[in-house]
Amino acid sequence: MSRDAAFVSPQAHIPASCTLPAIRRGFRVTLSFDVGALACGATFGALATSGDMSAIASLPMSIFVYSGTAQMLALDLIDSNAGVLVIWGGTLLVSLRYVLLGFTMRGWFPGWPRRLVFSALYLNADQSWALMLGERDSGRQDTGFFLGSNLALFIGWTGGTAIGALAGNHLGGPTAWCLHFAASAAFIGILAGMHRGRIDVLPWLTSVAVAIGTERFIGGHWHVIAGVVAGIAVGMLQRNAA
Amino acid sequence: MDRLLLITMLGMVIILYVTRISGYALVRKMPASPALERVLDQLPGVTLVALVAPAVAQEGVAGLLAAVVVWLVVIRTNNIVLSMMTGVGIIALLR
Repeated sequence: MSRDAAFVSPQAHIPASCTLPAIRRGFRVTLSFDVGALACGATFGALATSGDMSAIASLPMSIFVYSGTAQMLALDLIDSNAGVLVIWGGTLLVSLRYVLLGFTMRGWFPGWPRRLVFSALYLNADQSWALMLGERDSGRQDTGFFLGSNLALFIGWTGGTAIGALAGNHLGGPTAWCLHFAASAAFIGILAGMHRGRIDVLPWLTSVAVAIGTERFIGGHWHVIAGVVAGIAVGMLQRNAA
Repeated sequence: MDRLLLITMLGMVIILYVTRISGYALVRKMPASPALERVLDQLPGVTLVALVAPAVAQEGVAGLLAAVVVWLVVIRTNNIVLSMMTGVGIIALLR
């Protein structure tokens, strides 16, 4: 619906919803997240060096797999001599949330050449997705922001991995470097901005409860999907009742 | 780099790429309908909530406190970076 050609600027092949200022803005805003990306990347690089995976493999993995959760999981499984199929199955499970993130992107890329969209999606990350949500919520629809944000995170994650792989065990207690709560805090901030009042309260609380419960009692990274399904179900019931 | 590791990584690359593009690839083809709109309208918030809730819960009371303060800081200042630093600061202090 919003993919129509009207959005394409006439002279260039660059769509109007992907401007250089927005790319720059996305890059700049995301730089503050790079502290976390760098630290986690360095943790991964250092752990990979000290484990069974060679230091040489960690950088290509960060470049081409490019997913903190999947890479940490694979590292764990490789160190415990798990088979290839187990590693792939685990990777699929922790990566299913990306499908959900993709579902929310309808209308994000009006007039973009398909090749550019599917290249941009290769770098989709929780953080850049969440930041773009916040951006759209404040009325700025230019998805160039998402590109810039992806780029900044990519540099942080791969750069961090390289540093960790080179420094190896000299980093000392590498897990302490992983500033996990930084991303969580930013996500909460974005949520606070997105909150639309009473209509969101029940679905969101349901999602919180089901996600935490699933993580505690079932585990295996099902919590995102479980929380989303439960939250949407309550939201639909609520709207039908209203 | 040994061959097994290479194959493992190659499979991971494919899985990650397919999961990253498939959600959008599916949703852009779906015909618009009121039901779909209603789901898509709720999806971003509910997804972000499900993503972050277990991470906050893992920090216990400190996490809950940090979450509330971050929420208030954003509503007051509309500044994501400031709220992020506040949240990390609270967790660091209470640990």
